[in-house]
Parts: sequence; structure tokens; C-alpha cells
Amino acid sequence: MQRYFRQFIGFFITSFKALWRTPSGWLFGFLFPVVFVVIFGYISNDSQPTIRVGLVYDDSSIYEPIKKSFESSSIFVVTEKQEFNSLSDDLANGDLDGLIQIKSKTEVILISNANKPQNVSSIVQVLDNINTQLTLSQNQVESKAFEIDKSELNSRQIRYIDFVLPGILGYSIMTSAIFGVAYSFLTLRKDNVLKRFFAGPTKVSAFIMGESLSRGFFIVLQNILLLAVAAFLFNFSPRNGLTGFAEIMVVIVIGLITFLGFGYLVAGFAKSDEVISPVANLIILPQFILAGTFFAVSSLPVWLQSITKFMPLYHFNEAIRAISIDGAHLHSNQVLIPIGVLIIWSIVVYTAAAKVFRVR
Amino acid sequence: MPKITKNKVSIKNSTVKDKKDNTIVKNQLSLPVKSSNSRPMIQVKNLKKNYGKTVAVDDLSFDVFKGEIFGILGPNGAGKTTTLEIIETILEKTSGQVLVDGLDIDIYPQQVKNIIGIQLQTSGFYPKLNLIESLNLFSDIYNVRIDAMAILETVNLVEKAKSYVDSLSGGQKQRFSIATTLVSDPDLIFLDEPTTGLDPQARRNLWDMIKHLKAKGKTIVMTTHYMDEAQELCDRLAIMDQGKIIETSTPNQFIAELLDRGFTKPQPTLLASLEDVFLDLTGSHWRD
Repeated sequence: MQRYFRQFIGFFITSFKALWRTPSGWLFGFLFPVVFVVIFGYISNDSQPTIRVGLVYDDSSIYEPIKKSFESSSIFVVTEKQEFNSLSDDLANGDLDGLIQIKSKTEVILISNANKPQNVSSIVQVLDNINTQLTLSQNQVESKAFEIDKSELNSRQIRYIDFVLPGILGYSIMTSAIFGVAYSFLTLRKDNVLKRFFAGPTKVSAFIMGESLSRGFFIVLQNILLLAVAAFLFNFSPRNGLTGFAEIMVVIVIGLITFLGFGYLVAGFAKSDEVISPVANLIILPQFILAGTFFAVSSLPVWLQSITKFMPLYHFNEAIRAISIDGAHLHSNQVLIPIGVLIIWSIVVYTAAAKVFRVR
Repeated sequence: MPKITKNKVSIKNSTVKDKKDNTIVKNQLSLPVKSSNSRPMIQVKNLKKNYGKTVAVDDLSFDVFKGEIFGILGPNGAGKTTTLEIIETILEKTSGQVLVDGLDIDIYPQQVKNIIGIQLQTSGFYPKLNLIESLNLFSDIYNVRIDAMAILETVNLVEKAKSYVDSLSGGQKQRFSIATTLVSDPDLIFLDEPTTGLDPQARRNLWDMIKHLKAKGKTIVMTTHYMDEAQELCDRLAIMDQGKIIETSTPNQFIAELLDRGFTKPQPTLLASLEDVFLDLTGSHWRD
């Protein structure tokens, strides 16, 4: 046991040192993702074509004209709900730009998203117009038909970076795990390094565990740095702050285990360098393009969507976004189901990898 | 019941075999066999290795005694490396039996791995590690304490201690490869063409190193293409071709037998060789 542990620690430290000293590991695992983050962080999505308005009423008398005036313009998307609380949640989550509550014939409350001043002024303009119309129709001269009681809410703003950062995390983890394991394993095998190790009393599992753990540790470290860069440059933060951050780390570790398994599978199949790139890209590219790295899977045609639901990267991204954007916790189904799928993938991939693993 | 009778039969067979072996040993007694009272370090019996239809090693039997340097000579493709790698437990054999220090390699492969030191003909090292780190990794594998600098000292690589293995020259890599075999301080060391690609200085210094190991009581099995090396170092030689041992003997006995058969060299031997000239002009200290 002591002997096994010593081998494991030996391989762990050795492999970590070697990774730390390899520039390409930093290039693909850290620098490229940071460049992605910086580019997408500066892509602004403020110029939203639609303004989302929520409507709720206690008094129905002026409800219809207000609703109609918003619906007459294609800029507005109107959401009607009976529950004030439900709409105010939407506003807080950033799903609405303004919430209009019609208290009575003479009193209208507007709570608006403080982060979207242009959108709010458009809403106010429409309300003022309808107010003038109603005033005229009611022949009131000195006073307005209704008072607008304005207030603002600092609602959560979902920027493109908030959406795309989990995607970049997933992509960088998948790529560095698969390519990293496959190339390093093939090199060690081809250069007879493994032959020399296993000519000695090396335990295969101590070697694999040490290698995997150091690579996983290295990738997690790079991702922490990446998140720190995003937090520093773009004020990125998971919904639940540090708790959310810790929960993201848990999902990263589970995703890592899955993608390292794919790496071992590719390493087992590939007999030469030239084989690795096409085989690995066959696994990586479809997921990179389809599984929600840069755009939401829901924007794909339905038949394609059902294909992406088999992809491990899709579930990884789903879990990370559920935590960082929606503030879901690990025990919620939104996170548990993707994690379950990742675990099933791990079982499949490691079983297959064990069958094709070769030392020579 | 039928199983037991079978066993009996097989026991009988083996006793018959032992008798045969004895007669072979008796025949060989004319040769200076060392330590006949102690168990051989390696016993190889009817070893066979096939790759598909090609026969790489064909019914080999030989013993290596404790404390000797045993050389395996033969042209490329004779099966030298295959034979070594089977004894080293790297390759699976097709049939036959191999005992290392009395341990059957089929039953105790891990124990065997622990008591042998291996220098492979072609072996790479973990990338991006310096020599000390690389040796320390081997000490973790063999679960031993080492003085890495002392080991590097014996192969004259102290000044390269902090260099990456990738940056070593061919000869330095070869020496470092031998250094890794010393990590576990094994009683039995395998050297597969240890001096191939080395300059004459390095070659001679390695010979001294190998002799030093023998003086410390190690048993060494080596292959080589250099006859002068075999003559200089080996106590006994096996000459192999096409997967078979043609003959096993001492270097002097081989030469004596050849001369007995009436062999004469076409040219008179010079009293010095070109290598002697080379070493005289360039000195015998380590290079590169």
C-alpha cells in the first residue's frame, strides 16, 4: 500500500512538473480561452431589438388601452401574468425590462430595469402617450388621467459574456483533456517511456491515477485563473457568488473525469500522431459547434437539438449555466440531471478505454 | 482420480528430463563452470517465442550463474532482444520456463521486476524532467531511497544533473539509461547493447563501470555487436542465430576451438589496432 501510494505521488508530481513546463499546455488551456473571453466580453448586446414589458392589474378599467398601445408596436413584447411576484422575479432576473402594475384608474406603477435606461425611456414614452390620449378622451384639462409612480430595480443583467463563459470553460476543458491525454500518452508509449516504467514494478493504476490527477489539477488551476480573469475584466460572477463558484468547480471536476476518459480512449485507439488529430476532432468539433458553446442550443432546429442532447459537452454547459446564470444549486434537477448524464458517459468511456489501453 | 495419475506421469517425465539435463551439464563440465553448488541466477528452459508464424526464439535453454557477465552475441534479428525482454517480463513468451533467482517469471513477475535492473536498447524518458527528477521518479517506482548525485557520478553525468533528459547527447542518454538500472541496486542487471553509438572513450569507461559492477557481486547479462567488448567483459558467451543458441562457451574456449579446427587468420595480427592509435592520440577521459 505504501509502495502503491509512493508510485502514485511520484507520477502525480512528475507529471505536474512536466505539464507546468510545457508551453503548449498553457497556450491551449489558458491563453486561447482568455483570448476568447476577452473578445466575447467586449461584444456588446445592449442593442436589443425588443423591449420586454410585464403587465399586471388590480383594476381592469384602463388595462386594455395600455396593453393595446404596447402591442401595437413591434418593439415591445408583452408578458401578462396574474401574479405580481412572478413578474417581479422575472424583472429581477433580467428577463423583463419593465414591470407595469395598474393599481387603479388613476394610479400606475412602473418598476424598471435600472441597467437598461434607453428601454425604460421608451416604456415611459408609451405610457405618457396613452396618458395624454386618455386625458383628452376624458376631457380632463388640469390633471392627468393617471399618475405614473416610477421606481427602478437593479436587476440582474445577463450579458453575452455571462452566457459564453461557461461555454468557453467547457470547450477548453474538453480540448485540453482529450488532446493532452492522447498526445502525452502516445508520446510516452512511442518513445518507450512506458515500456521502461512497466519493465519495473510500476502499477498501471498508480500511473494512470497519478497522470490523470495531475492533469486534472492543472486544468482546474487554469480554469480558476480563467474565471479570475473574467471576474477582473468583466465583473463576471456566478449568481450565488462564492457558493456558485464552488459548485461550478464541482461540475468542472466531474466534466474533467468524463473528458479525460475520452482522452484515454483516443490514446488507446491511435497508433500514431497523425491519427490523434482527426479522431479527437471527430469527438470535439461537433460538440464545440452544436452543444452550446457560443449560442443557445434552443436556437437550433429541433432535430439537431435532439442530437445535441446526447453530447456530454451539452450537459456540462447546461449544468454550469444553471449554476452561474440561474443560480441553481447542485441538488436541483437542473444540475443533477446533467451531472448524471456525465457520469453515465464516464462509465461508458472508461469501460471502452480499459479495453483498448496498451502500454506498448 | 485420473488427474492424479496424470500428475504422476508428468512427474516421471520431469525426472527423465532432469536426467537428460544432468548429462548435458556433465558434458559442459569440461568448461569452467562457476559456482556449480549454488543455484543459477537465471534458468531458461525450452523458451519459445512466435510472432504469428515467424519464430523469434526457438527452443532456447541456458543458465546464467551468479556473479558472472553473460554475453549474448548474434547478428541483427537473431532474437537477442526478444530473449532478454522475455526474461525481463516485458514480453510474453509462447512456451517454456524461465526462472530468475529461482522465481518462475510466470508466477512471480512482480518479485522478478523488483530484483532486476533493466537497460533497454531503445528507451525514452519522461519529457521535461531533469536527470535528478527522473532518477527520483525511478526511486519512487522501485520504492527505494537513492543518492541521485552518487548514481550520476558513476556514469559521469554530474554536471548534467539539472539538464532535461531531452537535451542529452546519444552517448549521455545511453549512460543515463544505465544509471536508471542502478536505482534499485539490483543483483541482476540486463544491458541491451549498452555501448552502441558511444565513442571509444565512453565505451572503455563503460567497460570499467561494468567490471566495477561485477566486482560488487552483480550478475550481468548483456548483448553486444562488438566482439572486442565481449572478449574483454564476458565470462561466458552464447552465440545466437535465427532464434537458436549455436553454442555457449567462454571467449577463450571459443577461440581455442576455432584454432583447433585449423583456422588461421589471412593477415598477421598487428600488435596495435587503429583504436589503440585513436585512444593514444585523443586520451581516454570521458567526452561530450
